[in-house]
Amino acid sequence: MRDKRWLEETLLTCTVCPGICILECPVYRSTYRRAAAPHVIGRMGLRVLRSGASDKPANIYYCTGCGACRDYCPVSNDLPEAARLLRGILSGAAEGRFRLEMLSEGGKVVVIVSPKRPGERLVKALSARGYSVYWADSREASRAYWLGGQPSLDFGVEAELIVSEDLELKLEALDPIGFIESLGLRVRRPPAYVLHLPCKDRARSLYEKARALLGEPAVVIQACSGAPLEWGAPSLARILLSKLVSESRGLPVITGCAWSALSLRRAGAPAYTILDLVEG
Amino acid sequence: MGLEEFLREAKAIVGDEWVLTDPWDLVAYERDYWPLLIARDVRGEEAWPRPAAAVLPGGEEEVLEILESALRHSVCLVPYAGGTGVLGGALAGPECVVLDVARLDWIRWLDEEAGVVEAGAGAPLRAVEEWLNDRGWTLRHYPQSYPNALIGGLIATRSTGQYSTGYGGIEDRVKGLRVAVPGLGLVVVPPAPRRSLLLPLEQLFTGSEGMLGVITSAYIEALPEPECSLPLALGYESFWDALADARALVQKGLAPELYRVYDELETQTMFGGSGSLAIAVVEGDCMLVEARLEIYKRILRGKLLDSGPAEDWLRERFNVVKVLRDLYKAGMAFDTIEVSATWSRLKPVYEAVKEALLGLEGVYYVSAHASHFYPSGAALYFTVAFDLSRADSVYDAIWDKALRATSSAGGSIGHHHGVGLHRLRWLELEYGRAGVELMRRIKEALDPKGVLRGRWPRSPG
Repeated sequence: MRDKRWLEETLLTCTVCPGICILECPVYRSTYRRAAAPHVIGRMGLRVLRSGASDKPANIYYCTGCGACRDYCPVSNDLPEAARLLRGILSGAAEGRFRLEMLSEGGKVVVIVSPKRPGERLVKALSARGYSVYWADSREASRAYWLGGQPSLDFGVEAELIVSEDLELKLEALDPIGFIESLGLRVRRPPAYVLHLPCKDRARSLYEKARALLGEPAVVIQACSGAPLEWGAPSLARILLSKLVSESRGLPVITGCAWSALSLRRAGAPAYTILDLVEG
Repeated sequence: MGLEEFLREAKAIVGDEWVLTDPWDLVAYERDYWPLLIARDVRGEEAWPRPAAAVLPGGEEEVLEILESALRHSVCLVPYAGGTGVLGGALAGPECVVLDVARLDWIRWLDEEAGVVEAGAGAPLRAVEEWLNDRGWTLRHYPQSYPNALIGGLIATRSTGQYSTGYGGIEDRVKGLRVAVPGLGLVVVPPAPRRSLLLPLEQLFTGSEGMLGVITSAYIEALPEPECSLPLALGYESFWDALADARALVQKGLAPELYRVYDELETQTMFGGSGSLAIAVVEGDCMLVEARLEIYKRILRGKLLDSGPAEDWLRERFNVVKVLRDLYKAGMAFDTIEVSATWSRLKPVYEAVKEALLGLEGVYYVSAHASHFYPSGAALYFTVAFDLSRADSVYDAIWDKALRATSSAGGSIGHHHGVGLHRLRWLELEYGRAGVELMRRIKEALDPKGVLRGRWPRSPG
């Protein structure tokens, strides 16, 4: 049970640990900020809880929530979840809802969960198959979740299919490739592209399938684009993003993280999610 | 101290984003893995005052420029490489600036035929080892800090590892160094299998704990990965029976590469059995491994057991988290004290330290194992558990009693954790006044302005 006792024990575990997972942390690896290391976040969190300090430790906002540390930890300590809950306790849990927008009218309902608007080709392909297409704009909901809240997953429509390309939300939904396969959609195979592996635990199987679907990438980059850090540690987000942009060498980036696609585009880099490649 | 001017110059040298002054970035440098500070952290207190700033240079040239700037503005720097030390050596405090070498993390072959790799001071040991393993090589250097230690920190502390009986310490792997020395510039000791050219300069910096220069990279000798590896467990009636076998093997040149002998209490605590347990890994050419096993069967007094305990230990060897969490939850704190002695002094040292520590109020537990063996002796590694709420008051007494007992019984007061801030005050027990004065003079000669870790001796505060 995720109560205060669980939170304290999770933070204590990191506090007494020498930090054996530090090399797994994508934020540390790119920014060399030791304060972003899970054991340091744990220490600061515990200090705030135990001393009752009113100061908000900025480094609890350095965690993207990717879960790489938890996967490596011999006791599977869920520091990312502890950091998320702490953000909620210290900032006041944010409320956030999905904003639903109908993109095409048809029969059965498909909901696309994403922080970016689905492309016209995708909508057309789904319409052609008789679907009503809805976009569940997840920008507010994701932010609220990262800030410790539990946004309502009620979309307000009876959905036949839900697909999510928002990796910040732990949503029971189809992944983009599973969605493409289940509907028999065709995708454009990019000529030379960078395959971006954003989050270690949530995207591994997705990307094994991505290679089969899209062909062998020219470059594979496993890195965090820093997207969630824009909500709490924008200077670190900039370092992560600029590293990703420089490593992608101007090639188009295909990513399963819609947040990364948005950040990369804002930085002037050509970036697409797999759903962006649907042709018909 | 012209801290502001220094920070302005540092930003121009390394870039704004690599000069950290935000308190929430600096909290990371409040603590290394010194157990006294873990206890403070667990109680929700500040572990140690934060440094004034942290600077992360991205290359050798930048390190040299930062040193020059620090010299110009009389700013004290504390080199920081991983922060895995257990005695406070990486702590700066508000009067100093941390020089974090994490970005000096390159790894490249220098000589593939010789197995010599060049690794930057910030290269993680684990990354170097995995890089070598992909190419069929290994360093065989596995300290407890293996998952997160950086090369520069290991060399600066003169670290050793779990396979030291077979492969020696880091000093045996370092064949050359590049070191930035304040006011002097870059000292390059090129890699060589051995040399006889006055002072072995690479050894001057190996174990110098950042007082004399900033190691920027090292030439390290790797070895081909062993063909065969055989875990073993041996049972004994007593710790001393087990150590008698260890002495016989190491003096005949037959000792396992990894060899650990636990006293009766630690055997019971860790493995649940009675008597004394030894676990070992014998490795190398398969024929030789088999031949050594046959010799062991013939000459050892211990009983060969199922290898399960050795395999369990190998699997869990870097996982200290669960035990420590449970310990702290139970209101206890811990520390480890590693000393060494020649074979004839090993038992007197062991008995003297145990007696001294168990006589202290607030100390609940003292056990030991020996895990680094030499023809002339061995290291003893004491684990001490004590009352968390009284950690600050009992802590110095634990160390004082343990190190004085060791020295009086004819042992050496430090084996591989270094000196840091904490052990400095007992250095005279080992080297005498003249020896410590010699070290002070070396420090003054190389770093007269005390740019690196301040002037000698640095108050432990």
